[in-house]
Amino acid sequence: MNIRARLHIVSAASAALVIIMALLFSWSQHRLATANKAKNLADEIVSSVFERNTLRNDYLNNDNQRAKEQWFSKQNQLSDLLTSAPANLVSISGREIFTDIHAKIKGSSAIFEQILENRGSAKDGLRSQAQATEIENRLVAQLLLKFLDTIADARKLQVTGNELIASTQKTAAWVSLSIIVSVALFMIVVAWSIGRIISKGIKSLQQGAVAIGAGNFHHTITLEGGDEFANVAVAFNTMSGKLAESHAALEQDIIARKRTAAEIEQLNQELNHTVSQLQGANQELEAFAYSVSHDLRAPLRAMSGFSEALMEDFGGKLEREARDYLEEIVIGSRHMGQLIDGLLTLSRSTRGELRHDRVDLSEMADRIRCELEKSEPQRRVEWRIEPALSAGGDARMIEVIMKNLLDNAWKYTTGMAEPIIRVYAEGEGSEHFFCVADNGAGFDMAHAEKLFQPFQRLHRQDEFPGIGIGLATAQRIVHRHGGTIHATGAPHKGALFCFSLPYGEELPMEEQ
Amino acid sequence: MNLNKSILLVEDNPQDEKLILRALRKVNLANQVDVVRDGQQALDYLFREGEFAGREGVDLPTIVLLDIGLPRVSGLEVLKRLRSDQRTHLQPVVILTSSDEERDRLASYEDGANSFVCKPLDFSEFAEKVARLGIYWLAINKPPQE
Repeated sequence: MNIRARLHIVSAASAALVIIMALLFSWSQHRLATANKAKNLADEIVSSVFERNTLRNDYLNNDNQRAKEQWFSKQNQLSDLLTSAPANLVSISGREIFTDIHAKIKGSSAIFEQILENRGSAKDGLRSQAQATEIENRLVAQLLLKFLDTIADARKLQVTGNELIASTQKTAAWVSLSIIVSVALFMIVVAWSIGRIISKGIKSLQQGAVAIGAGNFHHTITLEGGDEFANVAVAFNTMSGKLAESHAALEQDIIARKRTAAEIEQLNQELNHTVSQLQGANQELEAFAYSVSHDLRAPLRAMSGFSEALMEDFGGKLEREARDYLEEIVIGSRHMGQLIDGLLTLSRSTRGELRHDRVDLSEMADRIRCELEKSEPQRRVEWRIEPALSAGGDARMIEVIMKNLLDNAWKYTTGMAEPIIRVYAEGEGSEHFFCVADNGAGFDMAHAEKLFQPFQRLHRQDEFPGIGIGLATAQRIVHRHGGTIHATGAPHKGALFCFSLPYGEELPMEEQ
Repeated sequence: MNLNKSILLVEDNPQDEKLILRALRKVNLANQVDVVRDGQQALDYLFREGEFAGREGVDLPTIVLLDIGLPRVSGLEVLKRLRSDQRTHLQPVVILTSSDEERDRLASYEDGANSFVCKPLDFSEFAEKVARLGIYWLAINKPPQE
């Protein structure tokens, strides 16, 4: 049974108590009223009987006719009083009392009529005075007896009323006491049971709340009895279930978020990598812009300068010096062309997608050797190219590296007694390097860091012509292949360039 | 013209060198010009070291015409070394370069250049500038030491 029902029972019991008390009050009031009526009736009967007695005496002693009349009227009044007595009064007081009194009054009336008859007989002479007096005396004595009996009956009626009052009061007192005591006991029991249910329920809920607060979302509360706390427990269990679900969902969400954050972190790293690549490209662009404003000017100036000088100094005559100036124009133009070509190569090396090719480096070196020998057929250079060198990467770009390195080796061995150019591989795995070595002019290691910077040269134009962009381009390509390039050398002892191409190492070894 | 006064031209580009010499020749200053072709040579010349250890003639040139983009040792490095050496820290130096980049100009002045002159593309303008430069530094300007 639930608490609400219990509380309803308590309310109903209280209401019933009030109603019972009200009924009890009204019942006792009614009984008391009846008792009072009985007493009043008894009083009235007594006073009427006394009055009648006085009227009878008045008539008998004084022969007062009016008193006789009044006696009869009082007699009727008494009779009416008794017959008109309420039924409940009659039933409570006892019918026999009323019947007795009635009978005695009627008896009195009969005796009084006998007295009247006796007097009438005496008057008429039917009876002697002495006889009549004796009869009358006897009759008066009977009448007196009836009078006393009636008084006694009336007294009985009075006693009955008093008894009724006493019993009513006693009954009312007992009934109300027993009802109050039983209702109080009942309420104590109900209140105790409600209190027990509430304290047990609150304790369970408190334990549940503590458990859930501690993170045990699978905690359930068991409350039996189908009361409100059982309903709350069901709701509580539903709530903890939902909490467990949403907690699990939240954990999943957090894991997903962490994964996303890790992905973002990785993307950031990739972005940073891309940014640094872009910065590299920007630096190249900057160098390009710098060269446009700086290095490209000189040859142009030469062309225009010497042309003007030719006209200024020699006019229409074309003599030896004039021809020399004209030659300078040609040199300047050629130089400019070289610069532009170099810049284009450099810029090309930083753009475009890298291809995956398998390259026969030995064959490539041999091809470049042929071209170089064809350009200067008079030169005699000893070539030592290791056979079957295989490299992976973008074939066009690897050719640019090899061309620049071999061009340099060819150029800086000019004028050497026994020039030697070597192409070979060394090292293993990630430390696998391809090397180009010569025994030419070499360079001072103190200036080695300038070798790979665009437009930086370690030799004068009159020593070895060049534009200072080939090694920068080569380094750029090697970096794009994830590798490194380094140079070692000494003045007049030659130079050695080694580079790696890890990007191509992942490729299968068969030729593509 | 004082024969003790001379010009050191530091120029790696032979064509620019020729054009500069021609312009100076037009104002009769060509005989007082010494030419070196990179930064290292310039330092060797000025400090009488290396190939110029036994150099004769003037102790220090009246003016150094210095290019920035030089092989081996750049013009700005030459300038820094001159300024950091007690013997040459007052040496008048004019930066004569193809560059008209602001960063080159600022770097030159920060390193102690006395002047910054951009080589113009137009030949006659270039010749006139070089001639004026020679006359100004040799004939008009008062050097720190005489």
